[in-house]
Amino acid sequence: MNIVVLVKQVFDSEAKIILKNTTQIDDTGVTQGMNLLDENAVEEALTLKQKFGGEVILVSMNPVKTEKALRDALAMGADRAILITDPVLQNADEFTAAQVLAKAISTLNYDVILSGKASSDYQASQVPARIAEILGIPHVNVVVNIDIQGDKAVVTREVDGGSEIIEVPLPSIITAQQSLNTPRYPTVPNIMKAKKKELKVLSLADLGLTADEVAAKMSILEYSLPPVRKAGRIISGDPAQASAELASLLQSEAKVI
Amino acid sequence: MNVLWLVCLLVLIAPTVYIFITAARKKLALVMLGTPENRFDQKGSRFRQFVNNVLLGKKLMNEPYGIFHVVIFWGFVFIVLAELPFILEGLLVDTELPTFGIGPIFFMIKDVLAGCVFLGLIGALIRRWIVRPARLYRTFEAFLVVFFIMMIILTDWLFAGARLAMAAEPAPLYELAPFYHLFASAMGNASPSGLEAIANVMWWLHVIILLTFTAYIPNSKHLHLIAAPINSFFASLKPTGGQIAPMDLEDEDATEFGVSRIEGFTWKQLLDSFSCGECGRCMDNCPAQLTGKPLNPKELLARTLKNHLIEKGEVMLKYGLKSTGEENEEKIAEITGENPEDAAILAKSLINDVVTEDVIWSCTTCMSCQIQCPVSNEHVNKIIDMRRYQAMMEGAFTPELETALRNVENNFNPWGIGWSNREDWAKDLGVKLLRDAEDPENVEYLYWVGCAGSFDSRAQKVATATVKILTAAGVDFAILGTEEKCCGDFVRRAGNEYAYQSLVAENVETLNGYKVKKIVTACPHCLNALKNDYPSFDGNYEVFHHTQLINQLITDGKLTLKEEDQLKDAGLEPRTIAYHDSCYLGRYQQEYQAPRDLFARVPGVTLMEMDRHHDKSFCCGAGGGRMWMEETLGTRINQTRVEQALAKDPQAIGANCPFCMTMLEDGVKEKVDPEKGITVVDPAELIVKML
Repeated sequence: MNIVVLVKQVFDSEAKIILKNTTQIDDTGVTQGMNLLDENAVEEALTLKQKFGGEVILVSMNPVKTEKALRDALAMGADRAILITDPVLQNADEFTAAQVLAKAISTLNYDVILSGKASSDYQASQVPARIAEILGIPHVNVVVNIDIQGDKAVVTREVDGGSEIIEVPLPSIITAQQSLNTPRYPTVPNIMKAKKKELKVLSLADLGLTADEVAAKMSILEYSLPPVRKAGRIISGDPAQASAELASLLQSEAKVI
Repeated sequence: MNVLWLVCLLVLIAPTVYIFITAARKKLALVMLGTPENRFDQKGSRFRQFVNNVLLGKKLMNEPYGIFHVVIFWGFVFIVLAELPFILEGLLVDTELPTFGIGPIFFMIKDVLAGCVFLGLIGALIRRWIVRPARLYRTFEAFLVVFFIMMIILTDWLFAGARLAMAAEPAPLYELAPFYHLFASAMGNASPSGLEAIANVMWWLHVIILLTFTAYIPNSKHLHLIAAPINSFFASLKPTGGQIAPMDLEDEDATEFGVSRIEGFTWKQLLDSFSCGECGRCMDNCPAQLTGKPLNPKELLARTLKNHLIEKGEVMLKYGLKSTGEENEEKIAEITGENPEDAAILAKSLINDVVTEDVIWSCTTCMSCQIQCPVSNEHVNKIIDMRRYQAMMEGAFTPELETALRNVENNFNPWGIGWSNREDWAKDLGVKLLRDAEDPENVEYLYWVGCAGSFDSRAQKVATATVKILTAAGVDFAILGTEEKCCGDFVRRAGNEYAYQSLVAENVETLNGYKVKKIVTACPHCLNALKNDYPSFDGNYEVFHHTQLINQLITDGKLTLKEEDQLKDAGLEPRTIAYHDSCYLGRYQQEYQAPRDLFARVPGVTLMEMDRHHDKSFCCGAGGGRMWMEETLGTRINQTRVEQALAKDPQAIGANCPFCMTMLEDGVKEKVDPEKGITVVDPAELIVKML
């Protein structure tokens, strides 16, 4: 069973966001790593590989050539990785990503495609669905259990207030919810091995794509940071007086009552 | 010369020597299954260590009844020295006894000591059979040895007494030996033939027991007699906090990290098990053991690891196996075919089959076991070596610990708060950042804030106090701010040497880049890491705890504190403080005085000692990565420590470590009515009010 896992390198969730200008985020010195839900996808792929054999291939896209997330996923135990990188991908949106990744996947021999249900940076959840559309395969998202039965998969997906069991033919693209599994902590021998595993770096041209074909459908007009949260205020004094003041402040200043 | 006796004696000596040598060689072969480690350096210091801890029994006498052992030790030495004259005296019936320069004084000392030993052994029997502390095991082995030694002494007395009573003239050699004379006068009325019979029987009884004992030693836990002195010679000479061996992670051929097979320990680590005399001081001071966790340091070394080594080691020696690692896979497969029983022993895994994960992860690395151990055994490194295997080969941590490790990898602090916020606490304090200093090389002190001081709101108060005090004293200092990363103390002690070494490399690069020479820190864990762990990685600094530096500044007159009458409104209400020595400042650095001195400088403060203090202080439960793990087994260590403090009825608990403060404050919350207002306080927090 050959498994393709989509891996995205994202900002650490604790990273301080600094804007370079109104349309660009400054990534200098920011800790980056694998999208956490993609770790669940990699873990699931490794479990499936252990059960059915085959190969776990990682596919990722990044405007800059950065290997961190892929090396981490290789250290977990994936077999090889493909990174599509090209400066023109700087303004990529979900459409671009889906076009590029789908093209890369189509060169591979796969039985199932896994990824996280969303990336922690933009949380759009669009790319897997778009890839399914391009490749003409089924897609199930927010999955908490995968049971492969021959040429089909019986998957449990989380829905509001319960769960839903869906049977899909393979190949299909399935995206992981956090509770799907607990990602493994890489062992040192695997980290060492990962340094030597194949990580193929491809440009758009290598995939036979042009910048125009994958140009973003969406353009960023402006980024702005959320207003800084003010420190709390303690109103001291006589309880009756203080509560009266609180009520008036909630009305006049906070405008909530 | 009694030729018949000589022949009989030689007939008995031959098998004794054979049994002794066979057993000793086997034990040596078992120890040599361990991996190499150089403990042959600094012979002078090693010899001094041997004199102090073996001949003078310094560590033994850390506890008052240790004196019994010292007396038994020296008595035993003299008894052994007197064995040759004893044997010759039996053999040379009519010949003048050659004395080898051993005179009446020797026999006086020997005889008095033998009396003391006899009394000491009665004491030992009482301690084991009548008023036994839990830490002493009551075993047949222990009884047998006491019995052997008592019989050796008793038969000697009876033999010499009978001989003296028989003799026509007084024997000048024994004239100062009181017990010999006591026994002689007791037997004064016996007939000469009766005395001769007693002497003959006692001589043979003595010789037989002596030889049996000799043959027994290397086959029993009393190999301690031989192994402990050797072990004391080879004991680590490194500082208490710097004994973890750095691993070569660049080694391309290394396939295994940490220890998961008994033969993966070094020969010295294996020797420890044979040195143990089972005194149980370790378990009497182990916070894990005393709070009902499965770790028992004595059981681990003297039983679990030793029995496993003997069982598995003997099978390994039988097949000439040096290890049971991958390289011998084929040979082991062969053994499996031929002898499944042996193969099953070889297949036992050290972790899980022999030592459980709960044992491995219960240790707080408080180091009390090692500090108390009279034979200088090294318990903690064995646990860390097994953790290394779990961490680096299996990735097996509890989920909470894994989160802390991932946090350190991503944000360089175990809380996982964004690293870019690391200097936020100091924003309004006017603290200089080393990167902004005009001449960073000449800034006298780097104040290493640590993760707790940077991110934990409680520890930030201590950090703030420290900054204010250093500023008031005019100390030229700066902080690294966002350039500082977790020192790696807990990462290393949780076994993740890989993640640890990458942290150290980055920190050392930063520190050496600024040519930092002197460091002050309020965290004893950072202190120990920077001072004792970093030198293995090219990080050599002079490191001080904030209490040490502040105390020195006051002593040197560089920091003046207000007098008592000026401090009326300073918020320094008189109070009694029970002082808690942290492991990493106390046992690790032997710094007990500086924090006490600081508290003593505060008017109105009365410092109280808990029952467990100084080198017997009781861990708060946070060391060795335990800060970041849930405590699910037994009772909680921090609550136990708080209860020990409450026994003194204090108004506050004094501490010197951010982790201790967290643990003790949690314990106070759980154990004390908040109305009582018991607080946990660092001395700097009081000194800052006196500026």
